[in-house]
Amino acid sequence: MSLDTAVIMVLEILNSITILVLLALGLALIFGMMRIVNLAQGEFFTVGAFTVLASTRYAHLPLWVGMLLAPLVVAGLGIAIERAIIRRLYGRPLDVMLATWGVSLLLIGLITVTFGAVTQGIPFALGNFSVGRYQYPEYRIVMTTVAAGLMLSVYLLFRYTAFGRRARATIANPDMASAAGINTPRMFMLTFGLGAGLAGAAGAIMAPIVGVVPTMGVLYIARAFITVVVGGPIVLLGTLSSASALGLIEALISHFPLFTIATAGHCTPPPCEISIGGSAFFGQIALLIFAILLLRLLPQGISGFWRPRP
Amino acid sequence: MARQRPNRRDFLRTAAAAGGVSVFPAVLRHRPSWAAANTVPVGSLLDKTGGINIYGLPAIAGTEYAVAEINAKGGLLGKQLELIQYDTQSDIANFPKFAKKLILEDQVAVIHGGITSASRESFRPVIDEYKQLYFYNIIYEGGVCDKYVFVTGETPSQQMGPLAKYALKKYGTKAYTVAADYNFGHISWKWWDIFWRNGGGLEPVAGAKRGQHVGKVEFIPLDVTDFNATINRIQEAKPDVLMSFLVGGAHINFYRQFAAAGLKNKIPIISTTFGFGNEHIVLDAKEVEGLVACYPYFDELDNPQNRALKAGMKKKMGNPNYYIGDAGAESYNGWHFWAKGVQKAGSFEREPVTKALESGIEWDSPMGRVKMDPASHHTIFTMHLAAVNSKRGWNVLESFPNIPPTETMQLCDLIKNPNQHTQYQPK
Repeated sequence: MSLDTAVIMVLEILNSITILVLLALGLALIFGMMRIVNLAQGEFFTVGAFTVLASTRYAHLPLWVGMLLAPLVVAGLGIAIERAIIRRLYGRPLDVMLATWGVSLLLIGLITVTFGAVTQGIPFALGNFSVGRYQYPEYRIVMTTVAAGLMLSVYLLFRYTAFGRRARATIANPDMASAAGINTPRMFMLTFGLGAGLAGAAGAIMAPIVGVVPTMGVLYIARAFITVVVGGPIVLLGTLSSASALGLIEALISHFPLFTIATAGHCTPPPCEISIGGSAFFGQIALLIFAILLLRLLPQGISGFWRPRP
Repeated sequence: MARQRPNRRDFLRTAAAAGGVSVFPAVLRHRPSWAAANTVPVGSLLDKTGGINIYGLPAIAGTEYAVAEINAKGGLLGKQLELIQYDTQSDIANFPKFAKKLILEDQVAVIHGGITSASRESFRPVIDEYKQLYFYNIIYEGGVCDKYVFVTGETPSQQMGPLAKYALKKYGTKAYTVAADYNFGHISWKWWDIFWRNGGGLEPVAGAKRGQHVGKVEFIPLDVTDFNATINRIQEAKPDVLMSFLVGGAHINFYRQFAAAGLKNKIPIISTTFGFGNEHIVLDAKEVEGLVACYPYFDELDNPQNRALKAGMKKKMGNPNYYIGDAGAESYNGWHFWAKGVQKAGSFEREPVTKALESGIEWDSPMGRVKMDPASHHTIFTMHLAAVNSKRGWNVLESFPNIPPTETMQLCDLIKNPNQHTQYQPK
C-alpha cells in the first residue's frame, strides 16, 4: 500500500469513528448513565440539523451561528420534554420507551408540517486538501476535531466540576444524593438536557454532509444505541472505545474487498462474482456482526471488564 | 348447567362463515360499471413521504394538475374524475396493499404511479392478477413487457445511447459506475455496460470509440449517506467520467461530498437519474454545475404546451420558482395518454382503452411530440442532453428527435403475443 493510500485509510477510519462518537455521545449520557431508553434521541439529532437549516436559510445567519444555536435549542427542548414527560416516568423503563417513541413521532410530524417532507441541503464553503493522488474534504477534519472537543469537554465536566460530581452522585444513588442536599430532580433535568444538546450538536455538525429531512433521525438512532450498548458501563470511555472498534471495522470493510464469491449466470458485464467487502453495504453489515459478536463475548460491553472487581 | 363448549361442528360452521365473509369481495367482484355514475374513480400510488419523495412530490404535483386539467375541460366522456391517492411512504410493502385497496374497494378505472422499480415489481403481480390497467410514469431500467401496463417514462436506449456518445467524445473512454443497490441499479448497470462498451448502441457503433470500465461498479444501498470510502475509491481508479445511477434523498449527499472533496472539476459526472427528482434544486449550483443528464423533459424547453404547463403549475404550487422536472412532466403525460385512450375508446373499460392506446396515439405534450409505441406499450420521445447551469437550471446541449426505447421494443411485441407479463433484461 502506498503512503497516500495509507493516509487516506487512516482518515477514513477517523471519519467512521467521528460519526459514531457524534451520534452516541448524547445517548451515552441519557441511556448509558441515566438508563433512559430515549427513542426520541434520533429526533434530537434531526432538530439540531433543522435548527441549522432554519437559521441559515430563513434567518440568513452565518452557518457557524446556526451550529452554535442548535445544541442550545435542542437542550431546551430536551429539558422541556424531561420536565413534561420523562420526570413522571422514572423507574418505569417500558413506559419511558413508549412515551419517548410518542415524542419521536410527534417531533417528526411537527417538523414535517413546518418544513415539509422534502430533503433539503445546507451548502458549505470549506475546501479540500491533497494527499498524494487523493483529495480530501477539510470539513471531515473539522468534524473530527469538534467530536474530540465535545468528548473531552463532557469528560472534564463530569470528572472535575462540582456539577459533574453532583450529577454522578445523583445517578449513582438518588436517595443518598438527595439526603446530602443535592437537588436531584434538577440534576436529572440538566443531565438529560445536556444529552439532548449533544445530540443537537451532532445533528448540526453532520447537517452539511447529509441531507436534511424530517425522518433523518431514524437512519442514525440504531447506530447510536449499538455504540453505547457495546461501550458498556463506563459510559464515556466505553463509548469512545466502542466507537473506535466499530468505526475501525466499518471503515476497513468498507474499503477493502475481503474475498469474492463466484456467481452463476448474468455474466456479460465484468463482475461475474460478488465481492464481499469493499463497499459501504458490507461496512454496515460488518459493524452489526462485530457488535453482535462483541456482546456475545463481552455481555457487559467493552468497558464491563475494566471495573475493579468489588 | 354450564353452557356447552363449542364442539367441532360449531367451530367448522363458524370458521366457514367467517372465511366466506372474508373472501366475499373477491368472489363477487365484477367489473364495476363506471357508465352509471357521474364520477369515475382513478387511483395514484406515489411516495409523498420518506426517502423516495424527492420524486414522489413532483409526480404528485403533476398528477393532481393533470387530473384537475382534465376535469376543468369537462372531464372524460361527460364524467368527472375522482382522484384517489395513497401515500406509499417510500415503503415497498405499501404498494401491493394500496394497489389491492384501489382495485377492490375503490374500484378505480386506472392506476398510475409506482416510483422505484422495486415498488413497481412489488405490485405488478397484483395488477396482473386483477387485470387492472396501469401506467408507470417514470424513468426506469427498461424491459417491462406487460399487456396491462403502459410506460410513459424513458428507458436505457433513450438515455444511455446519447450519454455514452457524448461522454466518449467529450471526456474519454474510462468510466467508473456507482449505482443504487436494487433491481433498477443492477439492471441499469447491465445495459450501461453494453452501451458503453459498444460506443453508444446496443450493437457496436461503427467508427465510434469504445468505452471501458475502470475500478469495480459499486452498488450502494438507498439509506447510505456517507460516501467517503466510495469517493476515495473513485479517485484511486482515475476515471475520465463517472456514471451515476444513484437514487433517492440519501444519495443526494454523494454529489455534495464529491464536490467537497474537490472532484467536481476533475471528474465529470453523467447520470440517468440526477435531476428527475430536482436534485439540482436541493444542491447548490456550484456543487453540481456541469453534470450532464438526458431526459425528454426539462422546464427550459420552449413550446406553447410547456409555457402553459409552467404557468399553471407555478400558480397551483404558489411558487414562482417552482421546477416541474421530468418526474412531474411524465406523470402529467401519463394521465393525458390515458385520457386520450379513454376518449378514443369511448369507454373506461380496460380492453377498449388498451386497444385505443395500441392504435398508436401521439400528441403534442409539454415535452414536444410524444408517441405510444403500440407493440411495446412504451413511449417514443425527443430526448435532450443537458448540463446543470449556474442558476439551478439546465442548459440543453443537444436534442435527439424520436428516440425509441429500442432495448424493450426489440424484445416485446404485445400485439403479436398479448399474454406477456414479464420484464426482459440483458442476459
